[in-house]
Amino acid sequence: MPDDSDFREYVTGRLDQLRRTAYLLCGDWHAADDVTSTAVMKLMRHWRRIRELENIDSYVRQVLLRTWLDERRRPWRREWATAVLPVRAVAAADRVVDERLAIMGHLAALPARRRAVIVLRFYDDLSVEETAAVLGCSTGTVKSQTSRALDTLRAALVPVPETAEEAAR
Amino acid sequence: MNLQEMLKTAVADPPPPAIDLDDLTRRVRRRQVSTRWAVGTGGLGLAVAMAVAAVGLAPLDGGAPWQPESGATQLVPPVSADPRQELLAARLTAQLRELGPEFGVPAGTVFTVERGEWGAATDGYWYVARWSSGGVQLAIIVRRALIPLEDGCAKNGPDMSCERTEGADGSVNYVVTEGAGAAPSRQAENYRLDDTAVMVTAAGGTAFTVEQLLTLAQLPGWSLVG
Repeated sequence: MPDDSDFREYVTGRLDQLRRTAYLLCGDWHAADDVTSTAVMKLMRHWRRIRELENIDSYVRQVLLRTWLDERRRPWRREWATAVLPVRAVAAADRVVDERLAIMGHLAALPARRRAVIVLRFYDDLSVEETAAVLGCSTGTVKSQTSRALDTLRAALVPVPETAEEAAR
Repeated sequence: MNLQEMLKTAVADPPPPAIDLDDLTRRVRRRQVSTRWAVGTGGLGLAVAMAVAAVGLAPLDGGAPWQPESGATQLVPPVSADPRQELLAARLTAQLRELGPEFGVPAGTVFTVERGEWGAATDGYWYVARWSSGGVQLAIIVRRALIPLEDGCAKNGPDMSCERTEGADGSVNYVVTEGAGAAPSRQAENYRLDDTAVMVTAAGGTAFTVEQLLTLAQLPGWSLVG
């Protein structure tokens, strides 16, 4: 049986981050686990080649992203985006949950590549160049996609007042 | 709260992962073994096919095609499926014969071996029987395939519904209905632990329910093991 200890060590160390990135892309933890599992299997199949790469993390993100894009192309996975998302004022106690739901909803409404750009740049903290490398596109494309995605999010993410008094001001 | 903080908050409390590295490792190894087997068999088959084609097509001096001498036997065998595949197709055909009249299988219907599309079969081939009953086009496809990893099924659209269920034995079923009205397409799939997948499709009518198709897909006789 081949020794896969370095593969396991690598994956174990990054599984949590990969799952979270996948969740932001998929919007669903079950789907995120599926995508992450498939990506891990792809990595394992080619690990002997991948382990020699200079920037393994970038390659792994690329695999995860492509896996997610492939999954979305499957007929039974096609998404049906809703045009309007509910934005409502909530009590302070619900605020964190509501913000979480709101950002996930607004992310889900973005086209796939723009969503990927936002997740890679603002969650994974990648530079424009690194994001372009993962997405396989030019830095100009990353910049324009980022700009458009941010415009959409800015328009959608209406600040919710903290308190009733603040709301009344 | 800025966008970075919002994204970090959104993933702050993940549920426990449903990812088992040991299980994934086993799946990858099994897939690698079956791929090697398929590549080996495919390579051998290709070599035989090329040899057969070369003997059959090679022109002789002057460009005249080769003809066996009078009284000699033909050296080029007819192209056919692998004997083992033929045996499996015959076994599946026997199961097909045992279906009751409700499925209206004509007497001459048999399973044939086809090259699988989209790499859908782990060894590259699938076994298919097609017939028509009461205006509905029916097909059974039996192939080697691993149980899909995803634990969900459809993003049910306005024109398609899909449901995934798990059997008590660990097998996984999908039933899909596409289109509405008098001519929907219905499909049932049964993925088994022995890496056999059975897909039953009824297109162009409402004569068969997905439950009937699923019962048909789950028959133990559709096996590629042994």
